[in-house]
Amino acid sequence: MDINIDDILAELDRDTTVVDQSDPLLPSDGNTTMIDSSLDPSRMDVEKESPGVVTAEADYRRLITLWRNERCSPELLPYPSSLMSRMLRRLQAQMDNIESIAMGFFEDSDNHESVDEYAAPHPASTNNKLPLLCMEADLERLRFVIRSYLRCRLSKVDEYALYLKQLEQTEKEIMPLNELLSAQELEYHERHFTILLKLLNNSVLKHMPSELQAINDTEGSVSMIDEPDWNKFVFVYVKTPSANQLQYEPALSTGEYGKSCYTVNIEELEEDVELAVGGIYVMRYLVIRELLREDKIELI
Amino acid sequence: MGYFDIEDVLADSVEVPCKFQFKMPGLGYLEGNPGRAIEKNSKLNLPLWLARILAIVGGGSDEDTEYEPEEPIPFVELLKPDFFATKFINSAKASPESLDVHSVNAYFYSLAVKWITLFEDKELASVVSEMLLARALEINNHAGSVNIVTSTTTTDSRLESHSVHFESANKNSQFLMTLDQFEKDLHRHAHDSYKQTKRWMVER
Repeated sequence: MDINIDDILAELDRDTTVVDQSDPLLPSDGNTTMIDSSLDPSRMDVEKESPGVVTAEADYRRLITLWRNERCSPELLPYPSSLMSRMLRRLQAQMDNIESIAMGFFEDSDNHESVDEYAAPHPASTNNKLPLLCMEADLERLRFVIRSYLRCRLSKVDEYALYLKQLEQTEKEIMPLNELLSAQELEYHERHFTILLKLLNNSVLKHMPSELQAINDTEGSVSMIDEPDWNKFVFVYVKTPSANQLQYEPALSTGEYGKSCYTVNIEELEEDVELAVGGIYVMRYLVIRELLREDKIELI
Repeated sequence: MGYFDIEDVLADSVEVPCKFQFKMPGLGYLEGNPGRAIEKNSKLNLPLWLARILAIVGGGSDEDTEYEPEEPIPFVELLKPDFFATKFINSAKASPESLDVHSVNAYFYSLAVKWITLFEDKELASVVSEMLLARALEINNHAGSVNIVTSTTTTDSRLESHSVHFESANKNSQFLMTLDQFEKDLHRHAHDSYKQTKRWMVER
């Protein structure tokens, strides 16, 4: 609901480390150059892709949103491949960065013992371990989010293995499977499914009559393919579109009703529901699925 | 209600009374005497997974030819089971909170859903949803009452959480015994989330 400023703080922390490390009188060892070379390039080429829009901070924010959506939604959401590749690259860069700084510390302490006359400026700078601590904690947080996100997706891949399989076979769906899943998830799905099938075949199914051996039988009394529960109720937060988007919005779905601007929504059962911007609702998932795709709302 | 849902499988095996509309040779083992035929109009209890199919699938009309122009008669006719009898429905209308659903049937709600989808019973649907709503309030009250007896005085956090659990578990057993399986799940989820929130706020 609130604006999560943790990522901004983390960003500030990261900036201060750059300043802190470059400020103290350490021109000799590779600290500053290391930071510059590891942090900036990722930002630089990101900026090249689409200037001004993609930053590390925005990406992190986006990842948090996606993580939350994925945890709350009944269906498997499309995999943000470019975002994830950017994130993973940054993660790697930051890990290298921290390592090199830590190495720098060791070098410093070595310098201390060997050359005593340089000792005066050093203690203040090298004992300042807080930036390093922050960077490590920040890294750990990011890794937790990514890990949790991927695990959540894997559990859904497990759950809807048959359904995904069916999607793959019918090919009438708009979303092809390789956009829905990452390459690793595709492989996981494929191999996990074969293993599961093998287990079921060997233990039970081979003793069945041949017409009952199918594992994805939908003609029986109970359909064996578990679809996502499309009508699951989810908590929804209607995002406020940013100011420059606001003029562009009405073409899509923002009508002006009453005081604030509303998003009108047709429920397939009987009635229209107005989702006020900034409001929180409990809604059927299928009703708000399109809005979620267009990133107008968030799940909470 | 998925295919591999244990609760659903168990609920499907609840027996409902049925009346056979045809003479069925060879099916006597449903009555307990194999080798014989089931006579027409004989009543027996069949599990729901069997009865549901038999009540839909039309029997061959080779015996009763006069019914043929109408829609085919199914093999069995489902009789109203006693957990949906008017007596029970009336008491559900009167005071849903004090109703002992568990003794009526452990899978009352899933059965009700199945029954309603089978017969499009609007009245039963409204009664059951009213009942669920009323009972859900009560369940929420019970789930929300997490007692912390030794909250701030004890230093050992593990002991404290232990007592939290115990206190709430055996406190409201009177009402909790009347919950059906679905409500038990609901209660456990709600109670766990209340408990964890409280623990998170109190501890540390």
